[in-house]
Amino acid sequence: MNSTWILIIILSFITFINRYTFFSKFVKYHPGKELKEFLNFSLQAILTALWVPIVFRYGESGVISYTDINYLIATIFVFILGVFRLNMLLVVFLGLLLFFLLKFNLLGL
Amino acid sequence: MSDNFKIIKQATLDISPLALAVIPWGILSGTIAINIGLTLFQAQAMSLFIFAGAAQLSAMTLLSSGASMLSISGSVFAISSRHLLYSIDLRKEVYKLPLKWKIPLAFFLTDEMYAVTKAHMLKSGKFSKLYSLWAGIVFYIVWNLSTYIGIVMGEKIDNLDKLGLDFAIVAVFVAITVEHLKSMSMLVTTVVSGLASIYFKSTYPDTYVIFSALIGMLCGYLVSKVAK
Repeated sequence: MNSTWILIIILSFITFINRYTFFSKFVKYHPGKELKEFLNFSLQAILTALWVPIVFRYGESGVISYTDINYLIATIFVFILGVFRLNMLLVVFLGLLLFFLLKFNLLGL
Repeated sequence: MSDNFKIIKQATLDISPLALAVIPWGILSGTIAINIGLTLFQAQAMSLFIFAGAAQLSAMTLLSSGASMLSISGSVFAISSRHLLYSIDLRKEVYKLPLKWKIPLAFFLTDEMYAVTKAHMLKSGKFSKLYSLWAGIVFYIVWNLSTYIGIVMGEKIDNLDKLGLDFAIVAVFVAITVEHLKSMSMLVTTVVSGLASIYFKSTYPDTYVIFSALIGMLCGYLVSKVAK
């Protein structure tokens, strides 16, 4: 077995442990009310921290700039559609449609 | 229609936009795996067993640059450490279940599975193990099929990584984030973790997500306390 297979096994173990730890009975810790309230913010905070740096970046002069104009425009579009509480599948579809129209210059702008 | 069937149908519907959006991402990960020299089986095994998009991509980038096994493991641990937060949050619901439920629920736990689980808990008022497991399985199947497509396409299409395929996941995450902007504390969490992630990404390529998220969560939590 070569080292790549060993790596895949180790990495599979690592991702599983991160997911399983607090499901285990061997861990005695139980989150209290305050921690649960704190954790209510986790999904929002993590998803934001995942998508924001794909669209925005920290410029050399210390200002926030965008990575790619097509990403920026399509993101703003999705944001606006989201405010109107449209069905998520529709929002994602329209966002992608606009993105690829912009990306491949199909709007004639 | 039995209750279980209703739950399965609802889980499939709810996870579908998120699963569709991950297809380009899966294709990308299959393609990259082939391009850095993994065999077909190794490329698929990454999605079958590691099952963590961002962590897989980072591992492959590091692997192709000749990084050590220790540093690749460290990176994957840091990137997937956010799942610890999800598993603490779901602990009360899951830890008393038998192993035959706990192990698959943990294995299939992703950002996307957690997102639909939380929304479903809010709507129905309780945790459904069947709902979460099913959503996780659907997502897993889509992730692996798209990885397979990427493996097959990888040798045929150049510059797949420059097509902007990652925008799909941005679109879904933006849509979910907007939906949650319902209180001042959520707004603060969003703005703070967003700004922090822009600032930290270049400096801490592995830990910026968990760092930025924890800072954002803390600020949102404090604002919610002051508001009371």
